[in-house]
Amino acid sequence: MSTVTALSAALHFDHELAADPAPFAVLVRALFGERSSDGAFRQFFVWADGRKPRPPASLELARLLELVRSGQAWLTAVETEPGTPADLEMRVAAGTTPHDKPARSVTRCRYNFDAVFGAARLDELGARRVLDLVIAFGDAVAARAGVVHWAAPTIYAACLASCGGSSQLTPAQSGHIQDLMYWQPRWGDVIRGPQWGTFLGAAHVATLGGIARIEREAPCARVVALGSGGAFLEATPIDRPLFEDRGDPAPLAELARFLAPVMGTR
Amino acid sequence: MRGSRVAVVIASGAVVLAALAALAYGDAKDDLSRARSDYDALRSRYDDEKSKTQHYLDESVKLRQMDKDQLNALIGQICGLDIERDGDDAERMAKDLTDKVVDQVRRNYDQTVDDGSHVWDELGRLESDAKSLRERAHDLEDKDDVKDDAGKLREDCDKLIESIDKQMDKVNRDKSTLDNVKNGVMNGANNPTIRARMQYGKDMHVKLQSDRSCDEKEVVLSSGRPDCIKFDQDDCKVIEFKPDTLSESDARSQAEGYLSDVRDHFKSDDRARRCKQNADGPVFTAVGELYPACRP
Repeated sequence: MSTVTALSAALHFDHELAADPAPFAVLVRALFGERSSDGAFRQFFVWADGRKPRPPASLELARLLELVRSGQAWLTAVETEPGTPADLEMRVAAGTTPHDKPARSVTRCRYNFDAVFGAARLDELGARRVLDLVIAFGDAVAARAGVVHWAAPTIYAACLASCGGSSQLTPAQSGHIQDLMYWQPRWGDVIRGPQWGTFLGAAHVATLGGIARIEREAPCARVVALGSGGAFLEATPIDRPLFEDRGDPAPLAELARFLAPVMGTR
Repeated sequence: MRGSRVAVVIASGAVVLAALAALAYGDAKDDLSRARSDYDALRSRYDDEKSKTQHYLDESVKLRQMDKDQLNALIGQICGLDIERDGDDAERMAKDLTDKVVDQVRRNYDQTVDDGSHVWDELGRLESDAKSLRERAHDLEDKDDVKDDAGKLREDCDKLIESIDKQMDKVNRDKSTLDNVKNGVMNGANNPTIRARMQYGKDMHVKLQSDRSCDEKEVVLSSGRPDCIKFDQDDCKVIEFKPDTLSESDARSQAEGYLSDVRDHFKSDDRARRCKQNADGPVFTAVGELYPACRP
C-alpha cells in the first residue's frame, strides 16, 4: 500500500538533550545517517543567545551533537535540503537548550519536538518503521504529551505538529490549527489531542488506572506501553489511519471519552 | 595617692589613644569622601570623552561610506533577480565604489589619524587617573570604618577602567580599518560586495514588513527581535523573514522561539483581543516566510 498523506509528530518533554543527546542521535542516525556527503540532508540550529542563525550545512552528526552538548543551541534540526519535493521532505527538530538557559516553551514542558515526513518519504522508509522510531524517541525522553497526525499537503502536516502557520495554508487550515491549540499552555499536565496517535505521560497512565486498564479498555487499535511509564495510542490501524479534516470523526470522539480524565475541561 | 596618679595617667593615655583613633577614622572618612568626589569628576570626564570618541568614530566611518546610488546599483547587479546579470558590470561597479572610498580615506587619512591620536591620548590619561584612584580606594579598604564604601568605590573604578578600555579598543580597531582601506584592503562590511548583500537583506526585511502590514516590527524582547507581529482577526502570528537558503521550517522554528515572550509582552494589549484565545490568553502561531536570497 502506498502512502497518500504526510505524517507529522509532536512531543513535549523535559529531558535535557544537551546533557544526554543519545535519543536525538539514535533517531537522526536511523533516519538520515551519520553524514550527508551530497548535501541532500542538512543540519540547522538556532543559537540560544539570539545570534543570527547560520545557513544550514550538510549533515555531520558528530559535529551537530558536539554543538548540542555545548549548550549553545536553542533548537537543533535535521532536514532535507530546500527545493526537495514536498512528498520527499523529512525533518526532525528538537529543543536542546540546557537547563541553565531560558527554554522559551509555551507548554507545561520544557522542550518541544516536531517531525514531518512526506508521503513518498514514508513509502521509502516504511511508515511503521518511522512511527516506531518516533515512539522510541518519545519513550527515551519520557514524553509527557504528544500527537501524530496524518495530513496533506506536507506543509499542513508540518504546521499541525509545530502549531505553526504558513502562507500556503488555507484560512480553514490555519483556523483549525489554532483551535487545536486551546490547551497548549497546559500540555504536559493534560494530554495533547487525542489525535490518530496520542502520547500519554506516566502521570496520565496512572490517572487512567494503569497501563493494564488502558490496554484492556481504551477504544483504539493499538496501545504501546512505554518504558518511561507513558503510553502511545493508535486510534485506528496504521493501514487505515484517520486523515486530518477527512473521514469519520467517531473513533476520536470515542477515544476522547475514555481519555477525558487527562484532557483539559472548559 | 600614688594609685590615683597612676589611674589619671592611664585615663589620660586612653583619652589620647581614643582621640588619635578618632583622628585616624576621621582621616579615613575624609580620604574616602575626597576619593569619591574625585571619582565623580573622573566619571564626568569619561562621559564627556565617550561622546567625543563616538563623534570621532562617526566621522571616521563616514569617510568610508559608499555612494548610495552606486551601492543600490551594485545591489541590483549582485542580488537583483529580475534583471540579466552582468558579471563585468558588477565588478566594475564594486571597483569604482572601492576606489572612491580608498581615495577619500587617503585624502583625509593624516587629519583623521591625528584626531584619533588626541582621542586615544585623552582616554589613556583617563585610564591612568582611574587606575591611581583605584589604588587609593584599595588602600582605604584596610580601614575598618570605611572598608565597605571603599570596596564599592574600588569596584566602580574597575568598571570605569573596563569602559575606558572598551573605548580605546574601538579607536584601535577603527585605526586598523582605516589603515586597511588606505592600503586598498576592504574587509567585511567595507567590502562593496559584502555591503551590497547585507543591504539587500535589510531592504528585503523592510519591504516584507511593509508588504505584510506588520503591526509590530522588530520589537525588542529578551529572546530576540521578531521581524513582524500581526494582530489579524482570529489569526495572530509572529513572522520571521529569512533568505531562501534556509527552509520555511527553519524560519518558522526561529519564530517559535519568540512565542512565549510575544504572548507575555502583548497579553494585556488591546490588539491581542483580536487573536483567538486559548486557556491562558492570546494564541500566536509561528510563521516563516522566505525571500529570494542574494545570489551573485
